Amino acid sequence: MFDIIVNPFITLLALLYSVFGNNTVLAIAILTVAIRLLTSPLLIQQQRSTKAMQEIQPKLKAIQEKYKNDREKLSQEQMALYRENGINPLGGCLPLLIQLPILLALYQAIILALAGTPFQLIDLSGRLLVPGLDHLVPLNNIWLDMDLTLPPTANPIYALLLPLMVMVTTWLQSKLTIPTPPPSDDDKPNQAAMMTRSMTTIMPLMFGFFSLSFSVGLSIYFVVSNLVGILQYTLMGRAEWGRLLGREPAPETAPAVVKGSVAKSSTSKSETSEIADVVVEENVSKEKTSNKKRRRKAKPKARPKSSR
Amino acid sequence: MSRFLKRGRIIIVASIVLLIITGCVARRDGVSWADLTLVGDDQNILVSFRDYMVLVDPVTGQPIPLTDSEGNVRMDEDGNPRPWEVKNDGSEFYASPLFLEDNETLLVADYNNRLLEVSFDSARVRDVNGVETPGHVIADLETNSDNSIVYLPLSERDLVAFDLDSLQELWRLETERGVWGNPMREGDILYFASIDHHLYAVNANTGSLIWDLELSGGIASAPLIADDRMYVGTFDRNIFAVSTDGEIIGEPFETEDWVWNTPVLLDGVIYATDLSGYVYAISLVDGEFDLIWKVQASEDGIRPSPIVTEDHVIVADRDGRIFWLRREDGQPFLVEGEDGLEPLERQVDAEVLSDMITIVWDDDIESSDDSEESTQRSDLLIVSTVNNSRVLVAFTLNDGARRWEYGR
Repeated sequence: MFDIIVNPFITLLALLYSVFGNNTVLAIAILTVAIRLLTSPLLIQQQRSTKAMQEIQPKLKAIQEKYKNDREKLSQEQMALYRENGINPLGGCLPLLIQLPILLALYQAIILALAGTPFQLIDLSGRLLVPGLDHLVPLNNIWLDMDLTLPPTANPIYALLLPLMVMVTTWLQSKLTIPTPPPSDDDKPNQAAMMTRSMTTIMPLMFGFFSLSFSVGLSIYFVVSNLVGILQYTLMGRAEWGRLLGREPAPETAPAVVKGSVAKSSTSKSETSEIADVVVEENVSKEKTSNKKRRRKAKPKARPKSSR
Repeated sequence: MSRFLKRGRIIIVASIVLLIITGCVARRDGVSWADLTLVGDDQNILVSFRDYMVLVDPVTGQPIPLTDSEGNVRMDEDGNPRPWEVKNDGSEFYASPLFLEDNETLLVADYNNRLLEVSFDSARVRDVNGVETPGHVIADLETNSDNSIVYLPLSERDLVAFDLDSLQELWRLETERGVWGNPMREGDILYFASIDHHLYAVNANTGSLIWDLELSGGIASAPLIADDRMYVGTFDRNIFAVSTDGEIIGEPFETEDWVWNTPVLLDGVIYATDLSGYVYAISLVDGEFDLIWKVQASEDGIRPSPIVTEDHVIVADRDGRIFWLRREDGQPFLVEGEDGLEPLERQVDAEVLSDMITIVWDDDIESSDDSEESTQRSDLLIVSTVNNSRVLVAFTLNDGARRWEYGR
């Protein structure tokens, strides 16, 4: 079933490999860029939806507070609020759900195309949809003396730079793109912020660790994918480059309407799950826990209006 | 505390997502399929697969027990018969061993860059460290005419010659990609193919290149050598006829899909299969291929070479089905079934990728098993699957009756 998406990707990869002088790495990079660009409308849609949801969070929380003992009424009011603001509550997830199989298929296509053993190669048979590409098989999987089908640990020592690059680009992407949940006004630990911080610390480490056991070819995919992600977010004006210099942007949601409870609720589950989705989908990871101090320090300052 | 719990939850969620991502790609154990060889007059079946080599009785399908010099069965610590089995931690075997010194020693190249000597009597590895090889080996070893040189086809690239006494490298013939097909020696010339599209002929003693011929696709199987010609199938859907001088004869025969096996020649007819399940009977007439018949026996690919007998062409597909075809026209061989005549077809319920073998009995050969059943011997077809619980399945060659199964 999944082959419907995977096989065209393998075929495209083989075509690119052929066009670019039998260079597997270039083919992987170009296909990754192309797929990421083709799916960018979905990313934009997802971002818009996320932003819209964040903007109505205060109102949403106020409704939740008001009707916390009447679930039916709460549901009606929430739907009314969505209608009023022209928001589809699934608008943030749907583009993600569409993108996810595409990215998974790309991942699989790279694994299959990099066949380096008889078992792997026989699983590649029948997947090239354009006649005349069979003479390319098996694709050349040696690059800079590294075997792209093997993990970095089974390659020359400099191959270990790749997991490092995966970690750095994953961290960079998440650092630049994951919105920082606003601090809570009651000075209690902000759960969303903690989760975000944890996730953004753990994910680069996890991807770096997994890259140690995945093939080198996949590390290249991760790195290119992260770099394209950073570029996409930058072009959409969603990358906060100032964060790299320690300048924390203003929170996405203004803690207004119902003071205290709103600020707290602006770390709502929907937002954090949205963040989690983005993190997962983008191979992202994030901020260090040391940000906690910085954010608390910034709290008394006057908040500028959101630049977004 | 709650912070640690939350972090733990995040790790679990992230791990699950990564597992889903990575788990979507079907992964197999090992790198290749089993290799089968017949050993000695008893035609015991030596299976090399994954982390073991085992000797199986062709009559009963049971592992051959180890015996001492007086013929007594050796027992393990629990009082059970010890099977003839080589199992070393960290070893993977995909190629047949080489029999040395009147079959008392086996030389085995494993997938972990080791060349091991195994005592055939005790099934023990003499030195577990072995001799380091410069790459992985998945194709069979070959020797020169006076058994002084052993050739190691490496799965990454190159073919390397080792001195059989010292087990030191003598020479190496460089290839751009791996050698997955068995090297074939004819006199003092060694022929082998590579997935780098080339067919090579080298002096078997000195390693000097006699010729190399670039074909249009990768070659993952040994060439068939017969009557001063070679026949070789490629991944770009062709079967080539090549003279032993390295010249392509006529136009290649076009197949429907990749050809990943050595064709079989009988009575001047070449039989081959492809990974779309087609079976071909072709002949080379006046330097050109002539199609005798072509049938699609299965919609699943056929990797192993066909077994060709006087009456049948037997093929096994990736869905674990074995088909008996009529040799004269490739049509299904019909047998009497419950509802009248039906095609002779069997199912082994697991992917078949290994080359099948046949066991043809001579009347004067006795089995190591004395049971009454074992005396009713008939010629066998041995099929090997990638499923470890069904490593071998034996059928009667002519009527497909299922005889036994060996699994682990």
